[in-house]
Amino acid sequence: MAGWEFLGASFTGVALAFAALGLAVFSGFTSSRGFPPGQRVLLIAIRSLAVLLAVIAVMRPARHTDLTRIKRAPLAVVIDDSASMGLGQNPLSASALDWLGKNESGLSELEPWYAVERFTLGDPPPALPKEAKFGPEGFAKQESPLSATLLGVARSRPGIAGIILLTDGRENRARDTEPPDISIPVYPVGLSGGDVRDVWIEGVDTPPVAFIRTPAEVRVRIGLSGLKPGKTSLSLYEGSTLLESTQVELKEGINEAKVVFGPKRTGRKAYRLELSPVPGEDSAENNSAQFSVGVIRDKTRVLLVAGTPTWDVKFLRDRFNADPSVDLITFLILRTPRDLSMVPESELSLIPFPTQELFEKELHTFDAVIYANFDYGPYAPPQYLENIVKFVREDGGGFAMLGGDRSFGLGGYEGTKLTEILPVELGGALGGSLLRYGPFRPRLTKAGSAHPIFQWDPDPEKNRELWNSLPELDGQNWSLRASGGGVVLAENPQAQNEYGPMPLIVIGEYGEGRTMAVLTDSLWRWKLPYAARGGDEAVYRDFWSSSLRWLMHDPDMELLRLLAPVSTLREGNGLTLRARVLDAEYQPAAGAEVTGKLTGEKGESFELVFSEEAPGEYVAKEIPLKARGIYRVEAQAKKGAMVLGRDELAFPVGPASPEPQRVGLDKEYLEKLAKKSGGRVLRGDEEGLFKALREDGEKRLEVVGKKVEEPWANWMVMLLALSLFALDWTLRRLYE
Amino acid sequence: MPSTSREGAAMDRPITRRQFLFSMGYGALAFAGMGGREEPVQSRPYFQWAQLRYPGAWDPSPNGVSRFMAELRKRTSIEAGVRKIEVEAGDESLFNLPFLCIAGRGDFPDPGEQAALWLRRFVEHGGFVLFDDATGIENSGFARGVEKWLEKAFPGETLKPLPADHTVYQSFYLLTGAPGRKIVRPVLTGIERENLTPVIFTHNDLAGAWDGDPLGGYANPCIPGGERQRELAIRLGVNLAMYALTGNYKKDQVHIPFILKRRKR
Repeated sequence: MAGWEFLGASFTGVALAFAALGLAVFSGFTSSRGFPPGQRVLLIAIRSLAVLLAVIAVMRPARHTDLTRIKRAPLAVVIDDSASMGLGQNPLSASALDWLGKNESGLSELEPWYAVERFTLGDPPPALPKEAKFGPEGFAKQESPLSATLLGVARSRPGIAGIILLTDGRENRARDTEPPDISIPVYPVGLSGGDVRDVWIEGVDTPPVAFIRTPAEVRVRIGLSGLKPGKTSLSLYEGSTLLESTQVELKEGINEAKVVFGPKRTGRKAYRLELSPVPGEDSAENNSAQFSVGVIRDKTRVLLVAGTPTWDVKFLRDRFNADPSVDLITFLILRTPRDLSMVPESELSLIPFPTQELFEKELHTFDAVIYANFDYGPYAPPQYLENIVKFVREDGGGFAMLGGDRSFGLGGYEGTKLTEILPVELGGALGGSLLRYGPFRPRLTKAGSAHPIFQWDPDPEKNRELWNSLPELDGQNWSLRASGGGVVLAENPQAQNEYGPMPLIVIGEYGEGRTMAVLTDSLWRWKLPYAARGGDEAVYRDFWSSSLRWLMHDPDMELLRLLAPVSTLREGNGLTLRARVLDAEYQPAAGAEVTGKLTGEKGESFELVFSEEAPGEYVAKEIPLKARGIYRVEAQAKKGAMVLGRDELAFPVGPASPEPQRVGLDKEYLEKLAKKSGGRVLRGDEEGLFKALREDGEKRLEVVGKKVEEPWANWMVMLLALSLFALDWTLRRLYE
Repeated sequence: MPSTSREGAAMDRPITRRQFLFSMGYGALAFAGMGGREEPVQSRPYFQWAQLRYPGAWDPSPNGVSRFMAELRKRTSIEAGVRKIEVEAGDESLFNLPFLCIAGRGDFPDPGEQAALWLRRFVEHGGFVLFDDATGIENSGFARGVEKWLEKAFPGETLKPLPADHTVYQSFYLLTGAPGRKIVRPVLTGIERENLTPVIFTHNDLAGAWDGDPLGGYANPCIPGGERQRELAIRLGVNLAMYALTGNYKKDQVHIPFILKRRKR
């Protein structure tokens, strides 16, 4: 930019200058009166010119010109120095080094316009010194934080003109597989090579949560490169247990497969996917992947089967129907084979009892099965009882048997398979004494007093009062005692057998599941007779709600809870595990002894001792994770001799380095990255880029100074002005 | 006391051979795979009939309930008691017997505020009340007295006719009306609470249709439908007992297609 300015200009100066000019012209007119016109004009002109020259000398008119220079913008060359670049027969690292060598001069030629810097991967990305040499040994980084590097470079170099990127595109830190949102043009170099013969698990998409006993779908992205399309098997394991195996058809590129499985227990569960190795593949390291999913309960699906309509069943149905978290399916036997109803089917509302459907096909869809005074004999063959046993032991289902004149021994269950999971022994009763009539007041055992099923009020004293205020029950089924694994929570002190008071409410754990025996059909008395007389009707509600939740392994019902590790764990990391412990009143348990065991996939184990950080908060630190795989933690909390609770947790530990997991050039990622950022993939046309960069650089000028010239700032002007004044004075004297 | 007796009145309308075979076929379908023991060693009377005793004609059909309970045991899996249990207004022993019948052939004297609260507590916590008007006339003194008392027990709630698809008409038998000894009003009325109808009123002397004479016959003729009407009155009693014990069980999704199909026939 060029222009004129007055260096001596100010408002006063300009005003004075004009005043002086005006005065000169005016004085020229007045002082030349009487002179002939020719002389007069000459005198005015001389005086005006003299004054003008004086004004110029004072105002200092000057011509200025901007001085500019090229503004150098940052330009980054990012080199992916991760180990995956050096893998394969014809590694990409060689191509990257080759590119750097070939384009060294091209990049140098950009120096007038650009401050070219080299970076490697990192967060923040490290800049390579100009003189540093980068060779094949440099490709050793054990992760590829590609997104973090690009964003870090953009952030640390404001005004950066672009990023030339030498990478395989194998991001393995960010969870998002999409390229980052970056507003700087990125120019990935289309490297050659990187050809691998490999099958690998590219990624696993899991649902945010899975629901117990509900099919959960896991989508697996499987890569195939350099091998013939074909089939391989994909297997899903929980620990060493194979859950699902499926054949997947693979073709070159990324393939999608899905695995469907039904989690059986709630909690944080870890799983492993394994792809069978394909002959000829370069690496089987990347054929497995691990993930963990939180398994929760949606609705508790309960199957209630009752041998006859009773008040116990009626009030239980009302309770479950009023609970929005329970999906209740009921089958009531309204007519037995002994009942006579000689009317056509069309006049009855009875439906067939779909035993086969329920006990063979649909059993696994329920969370709990309740037999309420139900005698199986007339309706279902004995193998259905075996299905119930399997449902509990293997599927983790809950089973409860409620008393009555068709239940326990009276239901013909003695000697059947079901006794394997019943928490009471049925044998030993004399004929006719299988059901004891009459009112009785039950008593809680020590275990019952502390069990969450009977915690109806946080205040132990109030809880005891509630229990004592309950009305008498009526009628009890015979049982001998708790069976192996059974725990008596309540008993009838008025009915004794050779082992002591008869058990009334007994619970047990069998395999994966839990069972409950309620040896009376009169618990409904905790509802109508109790509540109508002013008792707390929440007792009946809470008893059944808690019982169902306990049967379902509801983690919130457990007094010990292990908290899942929050970050992704890798082989060699130190693990910190936290546990929360409550006492029988569900208050933070101070002074508890929390111990446990960490078991790795290969059976290696590590004893855990938790220390108390705060009341009820326990922690075990610096637990070594020596190998990758699924780890399982089992912990127990004790206070004195009493076991407060047990919990278990599973989590995956990945390999120390994720690098071998993903190999080869991800062209699709690079294309997406270039397009999203406004750049393009360079495929041997670097010169075009360099030329465009140079042209852009030319336009990028900055003003660094100003050149000012005063053409009249010299003694000649002043001398001329003085001479003119002298001439004016002389001529006036001459003409007068 | 428990009972396994199967006594009771025989059905008056003879069943055809075709109907008998049909019924047996259904039984085979319903209880495929039957086996095991034939009789329970013991049984408990899960369904007891409590009846309110009050000054006046509180028990217009003295033998009706025992005859009906025998039918209930014979026709259904319900282990019904043998005879009715009498309770008085305000008697807390009622809360051990979730089924209450209040019948009458004369005026119904107001049992008072306290008794109204007693009834309300009973119903609110799961009890079921059947009112049986044995007068055989519309707008009887019994019906007016009951309505006044219910107004005290359930302010703002009145007896309303139950719709034809109400569960009580399909809880065991598929019924289209509510006959008793007479047919004063062809439908039941009731008070609904939380999708259930724990208070039901029958205007047609239901127990009068069941009542027996000392010789084993029925005490009263059923007008106008005769013995078919009596059979339907017994079926209605079965449905009422079943409804009290099972609530909306027949409205569970699993039953709906079957019931709709049979209703269409």
